Amino acid sequence: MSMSAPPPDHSQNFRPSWVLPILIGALSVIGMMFTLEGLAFVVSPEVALVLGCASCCFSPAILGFIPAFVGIIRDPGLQPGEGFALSFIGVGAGSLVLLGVVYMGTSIEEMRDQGEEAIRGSFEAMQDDPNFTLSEAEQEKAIDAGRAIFPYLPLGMAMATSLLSGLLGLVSVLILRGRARPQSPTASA
Amino acid sequence: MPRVERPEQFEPVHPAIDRLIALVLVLAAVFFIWILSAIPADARGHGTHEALGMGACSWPLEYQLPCPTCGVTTAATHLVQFSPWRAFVTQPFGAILTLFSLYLSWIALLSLLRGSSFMGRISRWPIPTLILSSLGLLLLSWLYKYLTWE
Repeated sequence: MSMSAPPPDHSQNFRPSWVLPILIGALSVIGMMFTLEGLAFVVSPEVALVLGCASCCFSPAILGFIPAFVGIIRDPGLQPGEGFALSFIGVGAGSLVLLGVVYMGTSIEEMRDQGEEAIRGSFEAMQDDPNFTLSEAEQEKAIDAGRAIFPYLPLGMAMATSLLSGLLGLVSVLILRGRARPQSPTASA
Repeated sequence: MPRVERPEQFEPVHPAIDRLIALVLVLAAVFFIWILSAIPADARGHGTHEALGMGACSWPLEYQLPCPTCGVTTAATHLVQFSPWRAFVTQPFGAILTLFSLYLSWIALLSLLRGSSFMGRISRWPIPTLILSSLGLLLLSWLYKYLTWE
């Protein structure tokens, strides 16, 4: 029987898994978008718009505090950088699922057409504004740019949302860390 | 409060996650530079995002007043299109936010190229001070925008 080294003792270095906070973060993003969609159909589009626009187009970023909050409950020693990573991955994973739904449900050409329609609509709405100074050629140039950009806009928004939620996760950990820190044995004596 | 000195190679998260965050930041920066260089900056000093088909901000429509972030996209567009003075005059917070975002992306790119920790570097920054300063700047810029609102 050969002698083998004793297994290393990891009990002092045990860190809870990140799977649960990430999963909760991803589900909260998906749940929020379905709730907003549901509100738009069931209650009114205005209510969904107000709630959805509460933090401009990056609404899911406000959910960045959830993975960090769950993470620090499970691990009071969580560092701000880890809070950033937790929220970034959690909200990013949820955004990826939504991106998948968007890209599977709409073709690139349809996205370009929707973009063109929306841009033309906003230009038409601004025609009476005295400060609106874009010429016909400039408007067409902007529409062409919009047609090129529009299919990638959801991807860009998802990236920005993930980064913003990461920042919020970092801030959440900075704020919550002091409260979640376990008391030392001498303090309770 | 004693300052915690951290070693240069401090990595607060797994290197793979660190590189992923840096990569997404660089890609997002490239994407938004592309967008902002393609659309015309709105002459009103706000509402440039409408050229992307997004809805108009409700504050100017309902109250004839700027919202706290009115003009941020316009300022970012001016800055990306090499008009830094017009960017600052349009919305100082937007201009500084864009500059800071470009700087952050540059650091992320350098970290990717050097193989060093991006999160390790930014976690040494005085984050609470930066956030409070940003909030102060946002409020001051909102006041400036309110005073110069036409």
